[in-house]
Amino acid sequence: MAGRTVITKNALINSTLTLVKYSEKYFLPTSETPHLPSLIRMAYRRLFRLKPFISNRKMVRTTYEEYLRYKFRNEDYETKRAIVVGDIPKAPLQEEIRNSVMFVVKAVSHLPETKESKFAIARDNTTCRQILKNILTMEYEKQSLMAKYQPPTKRKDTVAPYHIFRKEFIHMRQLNKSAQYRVVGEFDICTIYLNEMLRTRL
Amino acid sequence: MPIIPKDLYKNLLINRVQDSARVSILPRVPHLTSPLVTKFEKWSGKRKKLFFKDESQIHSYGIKDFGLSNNLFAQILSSPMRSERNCKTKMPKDFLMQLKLNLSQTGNSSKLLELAPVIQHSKFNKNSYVVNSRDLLSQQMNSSAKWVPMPVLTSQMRYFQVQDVAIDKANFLRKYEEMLSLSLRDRLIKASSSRLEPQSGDVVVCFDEESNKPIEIRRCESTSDKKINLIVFNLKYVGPTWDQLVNEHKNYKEGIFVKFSDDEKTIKLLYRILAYHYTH
Repeated sequence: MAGRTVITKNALINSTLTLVKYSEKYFLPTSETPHLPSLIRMAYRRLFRLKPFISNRKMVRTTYEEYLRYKFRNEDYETKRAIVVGDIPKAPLQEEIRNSVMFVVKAVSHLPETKESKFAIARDNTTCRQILKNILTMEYEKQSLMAKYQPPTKRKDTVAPYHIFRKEFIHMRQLNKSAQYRVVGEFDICTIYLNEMLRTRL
Repeated sequence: MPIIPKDLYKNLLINRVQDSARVSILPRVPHLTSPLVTKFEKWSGKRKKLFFKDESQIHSYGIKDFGLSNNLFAQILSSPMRSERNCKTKMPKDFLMQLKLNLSQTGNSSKLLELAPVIQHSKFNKNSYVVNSRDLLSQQMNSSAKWVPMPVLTSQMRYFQVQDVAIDKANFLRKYEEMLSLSLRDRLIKASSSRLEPQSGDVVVCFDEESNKPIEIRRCESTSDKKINLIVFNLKYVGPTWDQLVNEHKNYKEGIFVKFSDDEKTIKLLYRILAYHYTH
């Protein structure tokens, strides 16, 4: 027995899930084409609105917040991309932003499926969710490496993890320097390839 | 059971008040307006999801299918996370090399168990994962004792010492390379007879001396004039011997065309062999 379903104005709640019905505020408007700065702001707000959907755990939600802030405010995506694919022309930023918001929406959406009726897009959404989950796990690993780091008192030539993973992307340039670089770097490189194929910007 | 005539118990029953004469004794319960009830979704504590009735509704919001089931990178990135044994960082397992702890089969060894890499991942037996890179593994080979799977070491039913596990350090990587190339050779020859209907996510294997990228994504037009992405793998980075094979079995403009929907395993193997030999 699955328990009772509680129905409120905006949602259906059953024993395992809260399904939110009215979802217009999570989508970018399709009719008008706003200017780039306002589109970026719109996307930022919508991605933050999706935060409660990402996870029930505070830790994962915080990681997601940090990830968004870094992506929107600090990341030098051009450099990062140039390491992997060189100077091939890139998809327009508007399209990338729209696709990225769509990717996250797909990752948190739910379609009622029974044994008889399956939807093809639901498989796609599951893959989106798994990728997003893995990206956030990797992000958490990076963040904890940066948080744990204490600059050595004697040797001055060591590089701080923030510099490696966020600024200079040394882990993507010198993959085989250590197992740590390799693991994080290969993941980031593959994410760029995925972005190139889907025209997203994860 | 005998039926009791109604007039015997009629007086015991309470007479129903006629509808017209009914007065409300209790005040009507007001409609619940507390946000505790009306906004219950906020504190239900269940996993939140956006709800779509069916496929047509999700499409009406402009959400499209990314075709991730035909996308190598999506498949690799979505595989479950496993801890890498050298740096103890998690990574999707399709990136990593799987090691299996088996009962030792070669008679000449005195050890009870052996730890060896496999090329096709499976859940069977106890596994551990290490980084899939020739350079790094050859550096780390001396500390290979720490690659023994954790669950068997911490198990209550543990029946061996770490010294009982044989790791063939001299031939460890060579055997793995041989397995990879043999398997890939067979699969590529088989794949060269596949039908040529390029779709997004399909792969071309080439041997290009000039190119300086092991993997390249090429945007081109398909037969039905749609824009598609082909992934080009350059086997130059694996070894010079592959030139001959690629040229002999060429079935596309630059090399061997492999269809993702037919040969997913071949394509994952291609990625694995390229990542293994990558030296930067």
